[in-house]
Amino acid sequence: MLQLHNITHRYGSLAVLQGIDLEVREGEILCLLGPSGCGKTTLLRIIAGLERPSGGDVRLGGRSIIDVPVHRRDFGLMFQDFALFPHMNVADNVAFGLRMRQIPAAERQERVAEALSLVGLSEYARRDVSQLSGGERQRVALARSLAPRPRLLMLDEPMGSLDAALRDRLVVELREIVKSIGLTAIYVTHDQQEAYAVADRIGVMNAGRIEQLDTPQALYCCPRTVFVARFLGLTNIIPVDQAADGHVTTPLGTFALSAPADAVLLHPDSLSLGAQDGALSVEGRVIECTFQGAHYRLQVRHESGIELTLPHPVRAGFTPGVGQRVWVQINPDGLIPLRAGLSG
Amino acid sequence: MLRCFVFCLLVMLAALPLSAQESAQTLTVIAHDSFGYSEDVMAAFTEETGIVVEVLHLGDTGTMVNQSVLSREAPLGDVMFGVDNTFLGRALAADLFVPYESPLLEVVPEAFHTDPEHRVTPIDYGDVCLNYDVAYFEQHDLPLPEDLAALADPAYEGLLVVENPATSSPGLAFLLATIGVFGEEGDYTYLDYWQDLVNNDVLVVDDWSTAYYGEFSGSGGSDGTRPLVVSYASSPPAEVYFAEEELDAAPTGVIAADNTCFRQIEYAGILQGTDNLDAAQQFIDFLLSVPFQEDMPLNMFVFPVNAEAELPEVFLEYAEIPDEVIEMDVADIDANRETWIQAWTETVLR
Amino acid sequence: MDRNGAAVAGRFRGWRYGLLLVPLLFLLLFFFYPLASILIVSLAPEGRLDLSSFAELVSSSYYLNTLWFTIWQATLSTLLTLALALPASYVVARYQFPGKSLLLSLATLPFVLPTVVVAAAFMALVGPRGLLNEWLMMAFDLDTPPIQLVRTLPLILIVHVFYNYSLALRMISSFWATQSIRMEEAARVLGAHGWRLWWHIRLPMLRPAILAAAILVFSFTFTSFGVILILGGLQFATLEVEIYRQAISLFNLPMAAALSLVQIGAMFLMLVLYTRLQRQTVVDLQSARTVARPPQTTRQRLLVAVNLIIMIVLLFAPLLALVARAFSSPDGLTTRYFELLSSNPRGSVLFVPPLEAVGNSLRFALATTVLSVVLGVIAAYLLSGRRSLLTAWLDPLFMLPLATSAVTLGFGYIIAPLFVSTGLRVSPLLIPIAHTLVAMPFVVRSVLPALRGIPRSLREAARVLGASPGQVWRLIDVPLISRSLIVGATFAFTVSMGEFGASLFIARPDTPTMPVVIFRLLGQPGASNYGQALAMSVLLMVVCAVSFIVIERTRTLGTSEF
Repeated sequence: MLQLHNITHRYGSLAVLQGIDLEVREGEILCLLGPSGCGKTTLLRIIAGLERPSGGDVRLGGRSIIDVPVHRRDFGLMFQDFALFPHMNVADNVAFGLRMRQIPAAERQERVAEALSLVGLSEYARRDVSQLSGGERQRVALARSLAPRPRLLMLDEPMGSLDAALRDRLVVELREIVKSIGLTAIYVTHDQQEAYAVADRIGVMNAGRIEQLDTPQALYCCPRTVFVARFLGLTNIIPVDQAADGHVTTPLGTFALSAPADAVLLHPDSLSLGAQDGALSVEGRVIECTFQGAHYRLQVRHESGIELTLPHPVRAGFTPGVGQRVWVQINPDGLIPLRAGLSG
Repeated sequence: MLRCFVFCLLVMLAALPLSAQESAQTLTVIAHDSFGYSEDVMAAFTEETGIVVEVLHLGDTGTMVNQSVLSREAPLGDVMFGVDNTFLGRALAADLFVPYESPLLEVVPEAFHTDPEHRVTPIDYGDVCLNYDVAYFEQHDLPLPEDLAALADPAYEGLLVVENPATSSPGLAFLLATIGVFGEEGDYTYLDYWQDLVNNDVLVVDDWSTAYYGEFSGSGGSDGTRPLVVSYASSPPAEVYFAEEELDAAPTGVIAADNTCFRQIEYAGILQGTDNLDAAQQFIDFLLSVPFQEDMPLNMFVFPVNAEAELPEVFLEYAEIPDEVIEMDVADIDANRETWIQAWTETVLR
Repeated sequence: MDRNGAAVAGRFRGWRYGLLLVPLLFLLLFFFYPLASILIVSLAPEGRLDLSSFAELVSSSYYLNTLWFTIWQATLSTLLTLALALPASYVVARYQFPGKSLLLSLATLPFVLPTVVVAAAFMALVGPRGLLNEWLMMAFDLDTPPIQLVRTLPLILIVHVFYNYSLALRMISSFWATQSIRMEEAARVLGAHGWRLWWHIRLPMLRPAILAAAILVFSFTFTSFGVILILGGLQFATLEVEIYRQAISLFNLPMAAALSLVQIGAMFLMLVLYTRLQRQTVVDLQSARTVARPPQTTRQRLLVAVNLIIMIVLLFAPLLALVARAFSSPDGLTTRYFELLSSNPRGSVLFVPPLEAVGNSLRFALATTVLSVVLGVIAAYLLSGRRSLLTAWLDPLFMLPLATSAVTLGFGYIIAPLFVSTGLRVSPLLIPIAHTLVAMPFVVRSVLPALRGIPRSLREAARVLGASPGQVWRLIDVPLISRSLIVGATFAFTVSMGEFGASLFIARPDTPTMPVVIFRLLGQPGASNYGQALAMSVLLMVVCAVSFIVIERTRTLGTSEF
């Protein structure tokens, strides 16, 4: 539906986006995930038309929209600070986009009511926006973006200013609402939990590039770069000293790997304590053992100084003590080759 | 909103009176702000000659003369009215005027013929004199000062208010009067005199209005406390003429003793570069003619130079024309004005 | 810098480029060009630059003292004005009380009155024979008037405060009303109260408005002319006074030009300093704005009452004294002066029917208001962009006309070749143009903080929702700055209604305004002239008061309530 071709953007000498190619599919929720400063908001602003890229093309349904001004793109954008108009009440805020499209008053009222009921704020139409709580404001902002039925909805860190409990609930609600009306949406966030919960596909961005674009599951199971793995909060990333003929040599030993790799991720889900078992087990000393409810979180230090983190089931029958020597077993599926970056 | 603004702007601009179209019949007269006359007198002139007079106000006399000197290459009008003998030197030095000897000068006393080349024509005069609060002097049984020197007498301590010569025309005239009386050289110069006035608690204010209405106690309108002020010989008639209720006697009087008043003469001149020489000459003649001369006193509170003009009754009754006034050569004034004002400022204000 | 450069370049795209140039061109044509013309003629009469007057200036302790006094009294006046206006702004922003908006409008009245009239008002009130002294002498059986303020520095300062109090009050309180109350509430919860609350929260929050008001008050008192001369007596002289003396009475143009340049230069330095000090504010337009409520506790009522009393004593006592004076004759109450205003027994051209004077004043003032609002808002829009070298230098430029002596500029108009050849120098159009130069800074200064306070995301949200740039301006920007816009427009209007200084040095055909009539009346002796001048002053106040109410109305007409 929406295609980005080799989008580059720079502020003076600072390159913010370096060649972004991306396709957003009809009806999906695509999430752009990345740390602050990675260029995800800039990319969103370029798609919205608020900024003109230094290079590249934005196409909608095959036609370039690079020269279409913001107000003619017919997109919706929800801002991080919600940007509600302080001089209008809730209904007027929601009606704004409809007024701009010169929709007759009667239909306008209907659609405002519809949008407000969609976000569960029907009773709030006459309220002043300054009287709303954070969550209510977020929903007004959503209703305002939805009311004109945009071709594409963009959400820029929509949960950014809300507290965690509220966030978890609203993310789910948001996905339900967007899905229920079959909108195509781009969702920008720096929080991977939020991204997992909301997205059909996630694009992880780093330093002006998309490092990996995948479904949440694929992304979690098989991160492709060191950055993606780290950003998703995955530990046990082991540097590779040498790689040859389908084998990599690491400080922990040599592993068989089909793909070339700059590092290896030992996926925490695939590690367990056990007996020595050839090349796929590593010896170390427990340096920390934290009870986390469903399992213990074990921190094991290998003689090379590398530390591995792994979950240990509470019901396993034994609890390793700190200082105890253990063998960590590696499930071969959990050996993920990582590249240092995309440039290579 | 913007459209509304632009619309309003156009309406506003359209509503502003634009300067009249220049035509051969229009004569532009530049004048100080106090230039006034009666409409019917001017209408008669226009009817008789077909000349429409447009007046351009240029602020006070000093501003008018300075602006005219600056714009000499592209003059603002055809005739200048109101340059007086304190500023005449500057105007003459800048060669602003085209000479014209009006036939009506015959009826003007010789004393007013300041410029032998007739670059300017005298029109009116007014004497800058001390005015006093009649009631105050009666109540306190105080004799009136008989000359300028008397003002330094402790009897008059704190009674006098004068204007700053740097910013006020009567102020300058009064300074010139003191220079005329005490001179610049000798044992007791005008600066010594001013020092004595300062010791005697003279009050100096910026302009005539402040002095007369703000500080002088004699005027019907004022809140002031000082019974002596530097004003004009024509002020008492004005007090009567502009009184709230009809008055039998003026509340103020003029000290017209010899050598206490300075005579200001106002002139008119045809500006260099005029295209309306003939009309300008007719206008000068008009200014000297009896109808205009008789109209002046009650409009500008000045005296006509035309000996044939009759004074209005209120002038005859309440104005005094001093016999012996202080006069000074315009070239002298022009050459020394700055020095005098500077020296005065050093003595009196610092 | 690069970032800013890009942003500025973005702003200048397309038709807006041309529009934004308009106020600059205006300034260039009607300010810098005539100013340069007269400076060149003054400093290089023979085509060769002669700077000896500068040498004389810096080597003379007199001129340096004058400069020092000018800056010093302006600083003191500004601080005093702010000290009184800040608590009052608090009261106005926080508390609702009956008659508030009317009171605020009327508080602007002093601004319109000619100095001579204000002097008369103060003399009538605190002069040796004024109401207050007479009353005190009677009450306590005194022989001498106990209040001796005339020709003292305190009186100069009091009158400066009298003139500028409402300016600071309205600019600060209108800004305050757009600020969030959350920050303050948060600070209170954290234990801040009393002076800490002011020092750490309120002052930083209001900083843009306080600075904007301060710089306007400073400029105004810096070039103070009439107040100093009439009320201060002659031992006090500002640069403005000295320039007039040099230009008109001594006709020493090189010195006048040198002093003008020093005045402009000193002011420019102040302005650059000001621009440095002024930082972008963090506004939180989302959360609860400061809303005025009726005072609840006794303490709050007391606070409101004290401030109202200060306001009334400071502003309205002199005005009332003036009104009383205009209606009283030695025989008691009278409306005679008002009747006399419209009679002209001898058909003198110096006579102006009151309606004509009111009409002229209103026409000039309306033209000035429209011109300065349009130009000022465009200028503010231009300056509200991201901080850059360009805006840092442009900002002070728009303020400079305030710091320029009217004599100097008046001379410039007379000789600037373009003004000569077009006849503009003798056109009545020049009057609203000159007024606009003075009035525009008021619009810019009041609108700019408000415009800067609008978060960028609001405009972008509107754009994404389908609003064209014009619609964004109309539906988002204008309503959000309307409060400040009204304040700016009110002062622009007032400046023009009361302006006399600038018109004095402009050649003008006979289009007498109300201040001109007042001056004419004061220029002739006689009780009825004086009475009529006061009556005309009262009329001037009435016309202004009515106009304020009309201006105030246009806000609710044009935009939704904010």
